[in-house]
Amino acid sequence: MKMTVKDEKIKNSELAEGSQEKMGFPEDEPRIGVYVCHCGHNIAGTVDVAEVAESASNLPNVVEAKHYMFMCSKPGVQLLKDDIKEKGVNRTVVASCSKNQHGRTFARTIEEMGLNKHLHQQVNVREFCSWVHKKDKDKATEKAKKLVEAGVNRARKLEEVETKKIPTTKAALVIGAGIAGLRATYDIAELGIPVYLIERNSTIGGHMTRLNKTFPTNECPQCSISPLTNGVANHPLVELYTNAQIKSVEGSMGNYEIEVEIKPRYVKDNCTSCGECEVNCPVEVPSEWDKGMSTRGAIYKAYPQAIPATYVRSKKDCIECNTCINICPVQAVDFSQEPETKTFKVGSIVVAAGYEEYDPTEIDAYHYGQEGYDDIITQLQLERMLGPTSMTGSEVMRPSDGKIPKKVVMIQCVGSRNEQVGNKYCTGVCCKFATKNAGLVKDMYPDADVTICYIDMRTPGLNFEEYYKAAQEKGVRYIRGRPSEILKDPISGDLSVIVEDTLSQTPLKLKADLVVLSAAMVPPEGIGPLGSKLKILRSKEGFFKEFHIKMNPTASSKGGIYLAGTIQGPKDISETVAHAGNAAALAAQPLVKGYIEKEMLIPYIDYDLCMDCGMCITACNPAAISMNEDGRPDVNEVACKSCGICMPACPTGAIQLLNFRDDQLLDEIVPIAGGGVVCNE
Amino acid sequence: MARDMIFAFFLGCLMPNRYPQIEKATKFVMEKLGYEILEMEKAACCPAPGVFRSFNKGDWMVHAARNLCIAEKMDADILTVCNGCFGTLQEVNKHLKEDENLREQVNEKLKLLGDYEFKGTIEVRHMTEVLGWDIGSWGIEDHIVRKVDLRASIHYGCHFLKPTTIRELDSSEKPTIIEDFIEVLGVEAVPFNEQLTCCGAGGGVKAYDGNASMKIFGEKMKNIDEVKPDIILDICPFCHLQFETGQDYLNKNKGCNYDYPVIHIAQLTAYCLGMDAESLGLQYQLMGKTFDFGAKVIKDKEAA
Repeated sequence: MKMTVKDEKIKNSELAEGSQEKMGFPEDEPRIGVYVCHCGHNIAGTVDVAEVAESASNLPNVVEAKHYMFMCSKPGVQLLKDDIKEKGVNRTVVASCSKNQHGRTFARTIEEMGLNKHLHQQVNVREFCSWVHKKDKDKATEKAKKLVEAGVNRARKLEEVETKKIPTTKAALVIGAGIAGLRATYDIAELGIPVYLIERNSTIGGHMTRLNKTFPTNECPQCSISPLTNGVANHPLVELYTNAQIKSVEGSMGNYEIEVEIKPRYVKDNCTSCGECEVNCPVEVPSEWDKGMSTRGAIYKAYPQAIPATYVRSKKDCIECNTCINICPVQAVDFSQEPETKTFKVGSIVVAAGYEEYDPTEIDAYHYGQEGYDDIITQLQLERMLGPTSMTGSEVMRPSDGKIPKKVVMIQCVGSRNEQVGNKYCTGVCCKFATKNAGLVKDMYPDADVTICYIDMRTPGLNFEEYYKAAQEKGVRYIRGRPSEILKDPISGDLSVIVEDTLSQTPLKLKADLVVLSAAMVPPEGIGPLGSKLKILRSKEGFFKEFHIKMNPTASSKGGIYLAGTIQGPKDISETVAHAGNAAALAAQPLVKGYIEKEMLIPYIDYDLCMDCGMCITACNPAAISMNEDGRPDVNEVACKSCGICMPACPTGAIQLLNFRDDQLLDEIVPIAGGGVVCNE
Repeated sequence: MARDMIFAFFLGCLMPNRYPQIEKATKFVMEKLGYEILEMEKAACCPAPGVFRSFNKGDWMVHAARNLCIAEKMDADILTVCNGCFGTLQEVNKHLKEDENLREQVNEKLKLLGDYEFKGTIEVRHMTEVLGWDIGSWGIEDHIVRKVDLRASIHYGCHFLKPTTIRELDSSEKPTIIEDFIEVLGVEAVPFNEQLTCCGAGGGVKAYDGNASMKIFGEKMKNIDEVKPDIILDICPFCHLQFETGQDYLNKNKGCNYDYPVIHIAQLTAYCLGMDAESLGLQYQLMGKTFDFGAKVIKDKEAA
């Protein structure tokens, strides 16, 4: 169904009774109205607005030129309306503030009067002129005249742009079932939209389920998240697929088709989660979920509350002794299961693939993961040790000898704010979780020395200064200094952290029974292939890039694909939940509405000039151009974001964005550059 | 690419003047291993990476480039047994190869010194790197005629590995190149506290502030003394000097009683490849004058 909104608008418009042609004005000839705004003293205090209007009135095709105190006010807008009606103005130029500020106000006005909104041209004589040339009024006026002439030149060739309605598929896909993905899934499903939730791991819940406590309230995260995990898993509109990964993504905004590969669990759904299989499994490997702080069998459940509760077999670890097959009381174990590929049709995609804890092994001086340095762990490993189901019975124990440490040193900014490892950014969460864990350790062992070595303490926001202070009051020692290295005494085997206390300018050698590295949050493994399948951009830090850091932090570079949580950059849980909620709302909008309105401000290709070189395809960020069956580039009008980057990429000028064609831009430049011949064609 | 198996031997300043035995041992080892060692005529000071570079980086580069040009004309890679010489020559060679503007500036100045133009055709190699990687523990075995039985505290020194982004040799935090090599010679590496810190000599410290230099060195010796090695093994004549004169100073002024023989990797390797003990020149050193490698010989094919 392709019907244009424009047609609808004209029908409803008050002007419908008499088109301009009927009133005796030729429709094809540009009749331009120019309106210079005073903006109080903002513009008129510097620019002689009357002179600018007067000079504009002499330009070709200009039928009206006025100046007015506040063009954005109701009487100001009325000037446009009256001139369209009475003077047959069919293109408008308003010289006032920026296009972002009020361009839309005037475009909407002319649309109300039955003109296509793209026939309005905004000229910025405030930010670009009066504000920056306050000291020289004459020159500012001259410049304003040139800017207005440029605008008039541009307006002369403006073309109508059609707005199309594109029906959407009422279903969404959410990638990743951590806290962000769960939140987004639930919020979308609650609007009555079916959601396919796919998770790479065998269980849902993500990193949050692995934490011991959450700051700043020291609550149990499992208690906070389980209503959501259960709510999603049991939601009638949610189809959950674990062990699943994206295979391919086709289509564009509003209508995507996604192929998903689901790896087998090798355990059928009739599993009662009794655990007999794992108890009798002869294999013992480090548990990934527990960050290596415990072991699991080749057939296992990641953790007691895992959803789905069905056990899973790791094919690569299994020695195929068949013990589990024989021992299962309900015959649920089935090694013959095969991978399965499913195709989903959805209107929106939410990417909530999360983060990974930075692996500090590359920082040689900290010796993480090296032989003989077992007592250097990461914060996530400490969380797993403190957790209620840990192998240590929630005690802090040195991995080397199981003793309770008397001196714990935490090191901040491991993999964050570190140009040597290529991560300039601050993760922004580590100061908070280190403070949390230091405080908890101090609570458990009041006699233990707990020290945090930091570059800067960053605990902003409501409740967090108090949280930081509370830790200090408990006796957690904060030392401002980035440790240069961790040394191991070759005789005693004791670890010590070498750091300068930069507040007192004292070099220190801190003895440590246990060193905890506050490792950064980094993009998850596999983000590259996922990004290229989705065809969305990444930031230089490696996360998926948001559309606009302030105004659109959950939209990706591609229409219809949204980002939720830490896949866009490091966040804490509160921020993640809010971020995911916003992504869900945006993803749901076109699905609830049932259609997308898309302005057809798209490039056209002159196939006589085109050499099929594909440069436009390479340049196109939202991947809206592709080769068609004849080997010629084709523009996907729905996916196109009207950015125009294809134009400079084209070596022959064959691809031209509507209303930004080379000749149109040249016309605009000519008066600013000092005059010349305006293109006729 | 310079010629294979031929080195232009860059002597530097300390070794030929104060430790000719290291020079002799180096030539002995390299020739035993089948390399041809050429003298570099008119080679000058490297110049030292700490002091000279800090004062005038430009002239430091020009001066170093002149030495590099001499080897380029000989079509031979440079061999050095000194961390300071290695630091300067390797770094300047790398910078000039990679940075065209820098190369032009330096070449402009080189003209003032005579017929020199840096072309970037050779590499700069430290003997330790050649032994550890080109020959390797697997390759030296065929050449050994004596195997010793020693415990050594290894001192890597600063410029051999750092800065790692320029050297690109081994980890500067947990290097193993020397340990792996000497194991085959029968030497057990004994790690000690703060093993990889400076000896206190380089960077102009020894010349500028003797007390500070000895304070750093005193710490070092305290840590070494804790593990009581048979020898201190170094790879740099300046560290060698520091360990030699430093022990003497601590004995005379701080009531210490150290007598750890200080052995350069060239001396150790030369002994294992059959050089007679007298030529190792321990009798001319301050420490371990009477130290006898021979007493600990456990394998003696035939003295070459």
